[in-house]
Amino acid sequence: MNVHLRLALRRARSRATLAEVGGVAAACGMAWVVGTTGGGDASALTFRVSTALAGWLGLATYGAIVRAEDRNLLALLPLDEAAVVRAAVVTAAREQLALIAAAMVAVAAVPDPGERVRALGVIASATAMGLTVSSAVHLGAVRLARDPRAAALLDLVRGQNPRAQAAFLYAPGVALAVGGLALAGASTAVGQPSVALVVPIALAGVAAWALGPLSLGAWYEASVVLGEIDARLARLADPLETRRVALDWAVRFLPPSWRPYALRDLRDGWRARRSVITGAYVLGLLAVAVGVSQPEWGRVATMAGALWVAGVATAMTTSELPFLRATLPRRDGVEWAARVAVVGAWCQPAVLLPGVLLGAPAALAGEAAVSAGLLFSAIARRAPWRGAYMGWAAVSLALLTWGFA
Amino acid sequence: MMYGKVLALHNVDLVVPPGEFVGLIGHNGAGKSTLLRIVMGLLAPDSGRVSIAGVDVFADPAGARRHLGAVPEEPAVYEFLSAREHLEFVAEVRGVGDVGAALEVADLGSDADRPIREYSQGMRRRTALAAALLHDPDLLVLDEALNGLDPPSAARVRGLLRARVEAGRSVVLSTHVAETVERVADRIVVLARGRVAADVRPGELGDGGLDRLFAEILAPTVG
Repeated sequence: MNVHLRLALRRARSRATLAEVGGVAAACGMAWVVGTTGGGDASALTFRVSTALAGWLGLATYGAIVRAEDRNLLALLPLDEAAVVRAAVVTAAREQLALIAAAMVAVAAVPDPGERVRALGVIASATAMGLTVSSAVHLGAVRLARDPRAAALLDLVRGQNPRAQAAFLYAPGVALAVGGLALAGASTAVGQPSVALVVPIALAGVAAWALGPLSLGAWYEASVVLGEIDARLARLADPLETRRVALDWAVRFLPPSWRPYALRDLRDGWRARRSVITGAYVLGLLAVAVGVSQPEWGRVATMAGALWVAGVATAMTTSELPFLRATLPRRDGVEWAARVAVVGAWCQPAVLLPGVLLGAPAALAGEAAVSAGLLFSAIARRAPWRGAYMGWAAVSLALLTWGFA
Repeated sequence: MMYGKVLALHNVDLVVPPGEFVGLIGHNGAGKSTLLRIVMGLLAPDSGRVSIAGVDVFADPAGARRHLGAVPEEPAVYEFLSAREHLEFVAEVRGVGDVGAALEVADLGSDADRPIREYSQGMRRRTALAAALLHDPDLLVLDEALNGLDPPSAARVRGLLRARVEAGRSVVLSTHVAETVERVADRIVVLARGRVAADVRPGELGDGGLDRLFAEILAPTVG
């Protein structure tokens, strides 16, 4: 056993506590309840649990490989980088033991014995894949972060983050997209056995093999990239850099008269409502997760996500700060058009992500919901309109849900 | 080397031959830590190269680190291990057999078997220094390494560093304490606003010593 692996196990022993054992037991208990109450469709349950597990493990491997707490120490030593990465993967697995155990317990509640065994196999594969595929993607992101050929692409998507960080920001999503497709197939095979069942474990095998070559040079290079990120974050003291936000590069494609208003909305909206805007990706992925097993509910989830994010337009209109109102001359039509362009763009992850899985009708329905939400903002002028919007959106969704039921 | 629009280091050309002790001095923000982090391979320069014993730090990171011992400003040690276990780990990574000499450098006595998380700042720093010396490196880089040491320990470490230099090894010590550098260094490099403002031998300092030189160079840059 290599010295890094022994150290990882030694660290694990030093941290094992009764509270941690209790945490594993509690997680397993909750998972059992979830599994027994929501386990009517074994494939759907397996997909949801395995995707959540793989996604979380992807984030854990970032912490263990790139942001390792002992990186400052190890980076000064002559290392076998592949051994360090293998030990980091083991560390990540060990630290997420409660989650892995809970995922196993959740699908162990599946009543049919054959389906139960296959579901457990998918969870085991998701564990292996979440650890290895995401590790490989993170190491690839390190190389991408310093590759001059990728600079233009990273600048396009980095928002106000340092360029090098853009590669890290999108890496978990890439890993989850790859893994999610494999897990969707494998989860379907829980009910109807097929070769798709082995795709995740095959992917994990390929990624595990690739970790060695990918880690060469990349583990050390990650220290340099992190150093650059920390240095660039110091640029936030620079007012011009501070004003950079996601999508501000796209303003140039709008009509000239819209641009100042669009830029104002991009900046104000991003600072005040960043969680909703970035949450559009989460809502889109949730709609995908629901839509895999139940397409009609996937469409409902898509419309709910679209209405939620489109509500930002009404919220911006009804709670606009006086100093923002004073910065530019009043031009109602132009202002509203710019806001529709900005908020419409923010809505797209919530619509297009599920649209890829559920097809054009779902995407069109989502876009219709976005348009309705944006139209509503044209009549909203005062604070009570926010409540009215929420009520209207809730009633629309309730009617839609009732129709499906 | 740029930090945004701030020029952290510019046109620094520094060669440290075997058997030389270089004291790196400058006010806070002069670029000392940035320079040492580049030498340690933790930051990449925008242009130029760094090599240790002829090995490029960025082209062959593991190879360069075989010739380098380093103690950063914040000493990095495994807090859940004892000093003995920590040194044994570093020794195994570096392919060194015995940690007895390193334990003597750390001078921890029976505390060597207590977890490092129970150590004082000075004890941690001595442990980190012992780990950096385990493999008898060609170049030892110390960033404010004498901070937190009590006077007897600081004197002992200064003696240890001088002995290494006499044995033909190189040492670079960064500090903002002029007296420390004047006492042990063969050569003093003053950094100001990321540039080498002076590169002198202690014998060339003249009246007023390093304090006067330091004041003359840095006075226009402070404030």
